[in-house]
Amino acid sequence: MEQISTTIIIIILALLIPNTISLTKAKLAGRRGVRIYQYFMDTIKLLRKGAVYSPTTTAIFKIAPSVYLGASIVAMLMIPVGVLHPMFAFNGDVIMFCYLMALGRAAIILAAMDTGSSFEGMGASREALYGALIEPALFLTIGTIALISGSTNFSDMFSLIKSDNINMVIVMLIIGYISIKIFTVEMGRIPIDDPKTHLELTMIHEVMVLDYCGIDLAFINIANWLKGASIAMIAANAMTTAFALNIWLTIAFTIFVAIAIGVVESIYARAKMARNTTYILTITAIAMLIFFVAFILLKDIKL
Amino acid sequence: MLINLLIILISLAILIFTVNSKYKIWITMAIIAVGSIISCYEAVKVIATNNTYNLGKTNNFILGEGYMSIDLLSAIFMIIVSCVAISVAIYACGYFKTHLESKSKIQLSLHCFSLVALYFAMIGALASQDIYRFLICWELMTISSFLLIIFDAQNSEIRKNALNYLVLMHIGFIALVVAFSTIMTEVQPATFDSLKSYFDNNNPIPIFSIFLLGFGIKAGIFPLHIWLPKTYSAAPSHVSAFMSGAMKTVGIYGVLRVLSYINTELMTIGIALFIIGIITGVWGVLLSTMQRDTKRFLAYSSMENVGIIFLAIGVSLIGKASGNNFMAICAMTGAIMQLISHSAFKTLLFFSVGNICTQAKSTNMEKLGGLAKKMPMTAMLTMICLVVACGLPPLCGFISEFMIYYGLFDTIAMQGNNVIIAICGLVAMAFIGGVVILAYTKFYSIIFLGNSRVHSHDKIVDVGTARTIAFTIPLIFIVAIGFMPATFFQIITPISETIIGQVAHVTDMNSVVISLNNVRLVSIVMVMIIIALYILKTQMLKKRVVTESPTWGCGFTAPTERMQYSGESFSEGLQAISPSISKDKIEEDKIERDEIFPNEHSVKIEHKDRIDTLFTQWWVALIHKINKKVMTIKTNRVNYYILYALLFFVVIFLLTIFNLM
Repeated sequence: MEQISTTIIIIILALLIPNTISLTKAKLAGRRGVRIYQYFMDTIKLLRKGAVYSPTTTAIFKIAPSVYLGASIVAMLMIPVGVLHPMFAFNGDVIMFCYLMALGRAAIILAAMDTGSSFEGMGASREALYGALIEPALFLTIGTIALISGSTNFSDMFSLIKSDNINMVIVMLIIGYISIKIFTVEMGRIPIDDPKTHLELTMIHEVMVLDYCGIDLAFINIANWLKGASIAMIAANAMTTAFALNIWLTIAFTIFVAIAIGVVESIYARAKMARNTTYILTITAIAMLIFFVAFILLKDIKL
Repeated sequence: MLINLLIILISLAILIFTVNSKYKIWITMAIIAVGSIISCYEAVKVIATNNTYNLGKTNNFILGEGYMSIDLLSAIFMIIVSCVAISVAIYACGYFKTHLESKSKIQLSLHCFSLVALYFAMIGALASQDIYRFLICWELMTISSFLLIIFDAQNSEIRKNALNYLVLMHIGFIALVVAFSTIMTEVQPATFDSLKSYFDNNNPIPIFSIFLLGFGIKAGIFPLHIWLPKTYSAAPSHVSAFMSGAMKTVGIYGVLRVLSYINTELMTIGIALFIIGIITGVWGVLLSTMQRDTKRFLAYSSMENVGIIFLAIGVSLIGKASGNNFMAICAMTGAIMQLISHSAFKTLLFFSVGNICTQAKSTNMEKLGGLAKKMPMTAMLTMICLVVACGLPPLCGFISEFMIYYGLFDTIAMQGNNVIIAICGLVAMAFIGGVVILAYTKFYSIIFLGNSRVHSHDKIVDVGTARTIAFTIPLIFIVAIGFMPATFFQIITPISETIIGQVAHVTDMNSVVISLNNVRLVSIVMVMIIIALYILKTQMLKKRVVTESPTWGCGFTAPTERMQYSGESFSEGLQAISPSISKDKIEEDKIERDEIFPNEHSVKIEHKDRIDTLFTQWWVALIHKINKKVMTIKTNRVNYYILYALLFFVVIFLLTIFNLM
């Protein structure tokens, strides 16, 4: 029962996050914005459509969306919501989570290359590079949480952290901050990539799926949302542990993550493509720094 | 008994020289098959009963008098080598069909005989307890593999690369002889067990570094890897598969064998191996992304795997030194699993490159493309290898990386002594793992996906059944480890315990088993969800309109296959940020200002390994010069040589008189 409610909460949040982001952007720009269930309706519409395939493509192009969605679903099933336990919890599930995300990424890269389009090749190349560079940051962040909590299991990780030490509170908040950065990179939000862009040459995520339509595109969108919700949930959980682990607080923080991203997208322009690698490596550097700070704090080294 | 049986088998290999060209490879296959079945049977028995199988004192005309035995460590390597050997032999059957006319009888015989010799030399090296036997087998391995490489010796480039290989291997061999003879001056008899008493009484670091040089050259660790890309691209594909899948592992076996006798100074050795592992892995993976030649790509990727294996071995030694047995055993088990999966998927990848090589007549990625439609079987099998190579769930590549990560994460969570080492390992593995995905998606998509980049590929068909059958045995391992991780963990743990010499706590081991069972559960659930989603989609599409339309070209309606993303452009982003680990050379004839309608222009980009370019610098020229000077004493006249001999005696005489020696 507990596991099912965790899953349902994440699925609802997965639908809410993209909506909240676009709503925030609209409100800040003085527009009315979309309805709260607009993205859901769009997906339903896509699911009712047929399909168009390029003669260049092979079976990989048709299987890839299922692989991406399958991997994202299973990855999502490992994420707890506050004290609620997830469907799968075992020691080392953090490793599996990272690799499932990599599996989804590899599937989409291959599908993009399958079309033989230079636009999609461009996107695939960028996605592969940024994915490779963000991987250490993800592992460092999870490693830091593991270090503080003494567990390698998502569902224990957050519940074992005690928020009685003010130093650790700060550390956990910074971990939440890094997780949001990882979210922007993995999901291709500003400043890495602008999902609303209309020029193929500057896209990353959108350009990779240019040739998809109908059900396949719906699968990819759902997978994207689930993936985003999983990472946002890690950020929210980390920030919640700084105070007190509570389901409502976690949900509130997840919405906060979405709003924060919306605000950032309204006031910042996207970075130049060449600057992205520096940006990602900076995230890794911050993650590394926070790991050592946590380590020094735990060892109680008096300076 | 067993030894004699194997000796009879080897003697049967003489038959290869007598029969008709067509049957040579069949005899080879039969001999290797029987040999590998026998050795696999014995090895499995050793692992199942956990008893060293003593072959006792052998005394025969080929190997002389010596000790042979199969213990747990050699047993697992024997299984790996035998499985690779049998698949290579099957593959060679299919591969030879295309070469029957173009090669002379003696060439074919020599090649087949060398295959048998290489296999039995490796088995001999693994089973030897006795150092002389071991060195004989080691040398036999080098020579037979050299003969295998020069199969296409009419090409001068191949001859040059093969010679390069031979020289480097002998440098390694000399290192081994030096190391062993240094030990033998202090302890007797000349068996591996004597190493223990030597290492207990002496500082192991100097001797171990010489061993590392000797074995590391075979394994291809940084900076001794320069022979890998050259040799693999020179050799026929099945030979590259054999060398990469089996011979390389024997090099790692040597390192593990020596390490299992060392009990002091483990921290220093562990950190050294850890750093070597990281450098090897990062170097290998970054250079592999830059390669255009498929075989060179696989060579560098193989280097990356060896890097991860050494990283894990280093972590396990550090764990042992600081009393963290759990990390030690997890990392060592991960290393052995990585070794098994590397042998399996690298063999398969070389097979598929061999298929491409014979069908499309090119190993240059940029001249391939769109092969998935013409060679679907090869494409599918390569896809499986890609999943393993990237360490993605649910196959065995993931399980091996999971084990290493598990040990590292557990150390971090326990806040033990080695947190800093663990986090460094974590970051290195995450980075390598991320770039591997880039490298392999490039490899796969440039070769198999998109449209063909040259028009001569229109009539390509997939290869015959013999070559496809060769894929099965490694595939069984890949899938079995992927879906039965806990079973394999329990099989391999005793082996890592013997290497490390420590026993892990039962509760710790049980927690790993529980995790691995969960990993399997998640993998199975994932596969089922994927299949269900795919079936759902196809069912939904059945009733709807599914049309074909060209790839989106942003309004451009006449795309050509040359507009596709090339391999060079795919990895360009990484090359732009990676510190210049390669020496790039770009030759182009620039478009002139007054060319209104540009003619055809060419650009040639070369990425040379920095370590490799070290061997074309001033000091090499200096050695050549000195060599020339020294060679003046070679006069080709007998009277001079007699004079030299006389001079030698005089010098010896003088040295003795003045008591200088």
